[in-house]
Amino acid sequence: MTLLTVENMSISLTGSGRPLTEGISFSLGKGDRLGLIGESGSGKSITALALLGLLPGSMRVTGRIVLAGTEVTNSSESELVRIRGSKATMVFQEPLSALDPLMRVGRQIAGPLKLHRGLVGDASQREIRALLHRVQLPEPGRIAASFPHELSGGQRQRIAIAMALACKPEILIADEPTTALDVTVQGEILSLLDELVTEEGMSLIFITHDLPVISRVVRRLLVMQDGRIVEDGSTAGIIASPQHAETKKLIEAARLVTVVPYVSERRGAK
Amino acid sequence: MSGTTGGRPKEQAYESSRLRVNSSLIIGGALVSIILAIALVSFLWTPYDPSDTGEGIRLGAPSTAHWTGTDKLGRDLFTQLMIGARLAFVVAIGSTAVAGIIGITLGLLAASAKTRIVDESFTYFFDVLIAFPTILMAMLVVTIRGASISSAILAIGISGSAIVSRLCRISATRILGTDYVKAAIACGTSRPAIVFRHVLPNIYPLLLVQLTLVAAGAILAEASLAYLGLGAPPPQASWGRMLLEAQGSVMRAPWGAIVPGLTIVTIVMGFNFLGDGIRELLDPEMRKDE
Amino acid sequence: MRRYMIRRMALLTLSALLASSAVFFLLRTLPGDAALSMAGLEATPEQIQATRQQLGTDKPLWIQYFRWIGGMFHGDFGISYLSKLPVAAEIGRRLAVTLPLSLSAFCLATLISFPLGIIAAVRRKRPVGIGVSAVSSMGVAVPVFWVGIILIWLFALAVPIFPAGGFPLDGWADPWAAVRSLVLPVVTIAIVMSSTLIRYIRSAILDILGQDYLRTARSLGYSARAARWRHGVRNAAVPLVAIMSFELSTSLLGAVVIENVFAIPGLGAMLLSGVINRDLPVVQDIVFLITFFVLFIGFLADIVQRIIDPRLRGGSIDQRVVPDAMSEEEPSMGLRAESGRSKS
Repeated sequence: MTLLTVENMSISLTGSGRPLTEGISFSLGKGDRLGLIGESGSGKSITALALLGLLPGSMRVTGRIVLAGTEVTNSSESELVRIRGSKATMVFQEPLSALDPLMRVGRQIAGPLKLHRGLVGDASQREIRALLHRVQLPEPGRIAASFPHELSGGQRQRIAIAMALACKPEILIADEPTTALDVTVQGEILSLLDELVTEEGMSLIFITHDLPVISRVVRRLLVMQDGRIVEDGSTAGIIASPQHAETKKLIEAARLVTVVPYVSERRGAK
Repeated sequence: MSGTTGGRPKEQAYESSRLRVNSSLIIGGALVSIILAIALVSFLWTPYDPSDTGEGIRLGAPSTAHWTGTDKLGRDLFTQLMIGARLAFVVAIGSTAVAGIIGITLGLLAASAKTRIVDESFTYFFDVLIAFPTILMAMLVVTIRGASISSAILAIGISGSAIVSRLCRISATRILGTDYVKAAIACGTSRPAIVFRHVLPNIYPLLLVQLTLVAAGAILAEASLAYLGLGAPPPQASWGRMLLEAQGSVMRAPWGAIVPGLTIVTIVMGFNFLGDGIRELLDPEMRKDE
Repeated sequence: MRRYMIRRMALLTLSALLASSAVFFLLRTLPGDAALSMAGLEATPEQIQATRQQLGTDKPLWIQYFRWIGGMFHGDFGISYLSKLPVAAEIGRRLAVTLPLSLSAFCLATLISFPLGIIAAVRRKRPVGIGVSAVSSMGVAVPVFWVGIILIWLFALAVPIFPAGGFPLDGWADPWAAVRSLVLPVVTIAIVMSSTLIRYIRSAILDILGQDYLRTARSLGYSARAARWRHGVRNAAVPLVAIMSFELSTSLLGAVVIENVFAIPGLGAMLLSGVINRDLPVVQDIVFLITFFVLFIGFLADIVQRIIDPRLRGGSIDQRVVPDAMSEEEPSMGLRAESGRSKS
């Protein structure tokens, strides 16, 4: 069963000729896991935003995006509001800015629970605890009462994942969900996503610039460069015999990471 | 496309479009230059003598003889306007200089303070200074020294220095915390050398923008003080007092109130545009939302 | 939070002491002996000495200072050199005019600015938004007293709807007459204040509209409008509290000038006549009171911001979140209370 079809999608800035992405086509079935990989600027993040109709007003989409039977490109905002969350939702790169800094994280998770599942009061509280438990956060009571700035980067990303799970989406779009995190935490978040996607039977679109990361969670890869898909195939196949220069470059970069025994730069935590 | 998801690096666009002249700069420069030219010309030539009551046409309407009319004694208003422009520039430049010298000195001292207590005391001091807005500072200074051009410059300059010192302290602290400055300190570069070689060259664009805005504020403040009778005493012509005198006869001679008012608006907008323009010139990213 | 309150109160006290001593000692650098002029030309040395004792000027300066501060706690603000009457009673009478004037100007400016500021932000690329922004950036270049003169010309003289100035001698005994004489001054201050306020509100809202958490909320299924209500309002409140606190101070300072345009017997008019007559007790009391008001409003703003934003609670004591546009000095009226600056 196909959940998402993208046909010949192009995104451009209104008033400027040069397209940001061009001729993107792919489809995603139930339980599929798809990876979008490319350097920064290759158009993968705006592609993700376009799937949910979340592009800023300054960008225009042509082509077709059909998400769970709804034509995203020419639906009204109110129709899109109905499918966002329940059909597909997103986890973003920067968990700190993606969460409301002034709202306790428990309440932030309670929002989608009420919106999509009508849970309020005790039922909501129980479900928040259950979700915090599922994203493997200890002491759910204390965490739920915390503000985002009181948590670590990995904990915040777990909260963002819990918020996404609260919607019970059919498709989870993860846009560089581990890029802003410490290397050790990256692994934990990846395993967590891997597990949850399997348990929930969700489909996954995983976006990254990092081949070693993506190869752990997806079976199929789309390689993007300058707004176009330059290679499309199974993860194993692509790694074994890359066709396009861009793919070779990404593999080369990945080899360097595995060869060099230690990463000298600490990631600048905010 | 990390730009759409992550924090946006602000410095990136810096190199590509620096020193591109923009419309704010041109408009601001033009407005300020026109009034400055009028002020400079007044030293060489004015249509009439400022105290010349002429043929005694009181509250005369604008005409070919008196471009913007005459006041209640029959003196030419355009002449007063020209001489008022001189005063406006003297006060603007003078008080901006006072604000700049006091503000930058205090700000740099606070930023390079070695102990937190010194730095924080400076911060508190700025806070208290900020609670003395220009009008109150002027009331104090005039009570003590009497109404004069120098009192106005002093009062406007001191109250303007608060915001300059605050901005200077914050931006200088940021520069002092960078790795290359730390490296310079480690190499034994003296404190004054660091300030002049590394800190000032990096923060002057911000200070320049701020000082332009101080100049705009100074012209408004000078006009207010002159209107209240706390500015330069007569016979020195001043836009603020021209407005005070025009108020009583605004029904018979509205031009007397309109022309000086619009002149003030023009020059203040000119300085504001100039500030925007300089900022845009030095950091185009800051206007991306406009 | 309690610890912060205590520290912030200590800071307020310290600032008030610093401000008051600055006012007091600066004014004492004036030459001359008030008792000489007050006692009159024909006074005997004994009478002059008695006047000195009455004024307290026979004591050392620092004792005079503490008497002044101590007195203010009991409502004793000293005696005017000019009228020889207690300053406190006169300030009370004047406040009955100035407070309604500046508070209604503040409220009117708020009512004008919020809708327009929001429009300027949300419709910033449409003609209406650009128009509001353009008019408001012109407005910050207008001297407040000039607006007063123009309004007097238009609505008091050309079309005589409101009085051109003055205030009923019997104060609020005839509320309608009192209100009528305050309309033009209130509108004058509000017009000029709104220009600044609209720019700040626009900038604060633009900042919030670009935040990632709004996009997160939308990705979870909230409509853009619902996301703004759920997350935007509270987040915008943090810089807006700072903005409103500065504008509250500005409205009082605007009143100081505008009272002199409309010949309204308020605190500003009293201060100006004190300055012209070198009536030290009057000048020092009013300057200090207004300064303290500005400091106190800043104190309240800091506390409120910390109630809204937990991130600020651990930070530096003077930290105040203000929108970007506030980092520059706004020349509005040339007289405004200046903004605190520093982002979290």
